[in-house]
Amino acid sequence: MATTTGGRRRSDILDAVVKVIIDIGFADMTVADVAHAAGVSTALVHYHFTSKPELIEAALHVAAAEDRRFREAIVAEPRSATARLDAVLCGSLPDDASDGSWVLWIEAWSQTRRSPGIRAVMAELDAHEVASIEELLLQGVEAAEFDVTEVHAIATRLTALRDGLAVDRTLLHETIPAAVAKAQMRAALRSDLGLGDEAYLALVSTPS
Amino acid sequence: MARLTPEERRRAILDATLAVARREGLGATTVRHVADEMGTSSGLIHHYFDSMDDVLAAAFDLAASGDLDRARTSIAAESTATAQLDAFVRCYAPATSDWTMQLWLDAWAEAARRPALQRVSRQLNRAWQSLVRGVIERGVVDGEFVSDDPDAAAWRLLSVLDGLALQVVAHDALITRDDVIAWTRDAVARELRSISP
Repeated sequence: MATTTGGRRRSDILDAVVKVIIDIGFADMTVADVAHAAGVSTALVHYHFTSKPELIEAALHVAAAEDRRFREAIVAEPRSATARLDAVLCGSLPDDASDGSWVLWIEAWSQTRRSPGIRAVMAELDAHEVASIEELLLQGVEAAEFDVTEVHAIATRLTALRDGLAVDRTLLHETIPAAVAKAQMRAALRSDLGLGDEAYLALVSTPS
Repeated sequence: MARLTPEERRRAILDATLAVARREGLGATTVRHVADEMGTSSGLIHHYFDSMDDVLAAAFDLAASGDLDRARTSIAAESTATAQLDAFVRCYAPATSDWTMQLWLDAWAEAARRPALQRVSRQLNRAWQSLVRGVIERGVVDGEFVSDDPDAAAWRLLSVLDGLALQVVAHDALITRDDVIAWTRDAVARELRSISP
């Protein structure tokens, strides 16, 4: 019972960290801000986490794990590789500018040079995404949905485009509607897979 | 010691801000830091700028506009749209040590909370996009590129480069500037079906 409460408190604190990072940013946030947002004492936050950097890293680990689960669930779906690529890449674009996870990632990217811990979390997350897309590309080639050879380059470029579109969407939301960003992502995916409009639609809408 | 004009004084404040931002990050740069860097009082900074938000936005604008001007010059030096687009990609692709790209990452992060920085990064984003769109449109007219939507193609090219730049700066172990240039050239060739030089 005590452990469950302790565990819940710890995860309440980590949820609060994400909220505080989004509202205040790494530079200005304090442990007291986190305690206030979590509705616990500053002492309790210090009991679970010894420093502010440790707190931030722990919160990023939790968010990164969620991100990986989102992708792994799609990769495991019984659909064509093309449909799953579409879901991984377009499904992760932010729906609106207040999408918390992207604000969190943008904040984290700005810190990678200053914090080896944050750098490690972000590098691992990026490597996981590129590897998932590579796997889907190879599955698609095997299923003769499309034919590509530069799997690593394509996976890196598509991930980069998605990140760039997400940043643009988060910053320029009034000029780039969500539907346009998704259409941009889809156009690049189709172009990289060498698929025409109709072939692409057929693969996305039918199971493998 | 010569007295500085108001314009020179503003510039000195922005230079000091960039020096601090380089060490501490844009988000952690305060009026106090900048005043210490200049060996002056924070009153001087408040005299020239309404808020720290305005100081950071003006400093970022100063640093990032330099890149835009250099890209304009490199593009103007080329005679075909294909060569111009390639010049743009070479200007925009960052080196691992690229300090302006780190400044962009800082500005993106701070833009969520600071309206002046958000305004400046939007303006710069649009200026880059219209530069690239101009090159693509010219290539279409001259028969070098095929594109039914140069506006969307320009946004897409900038987004892919921003994302790749992010990967170079944020985790330099994974990809290099040469990869960025090669992959972007490949994407350009595929998207615009440009005639290879």
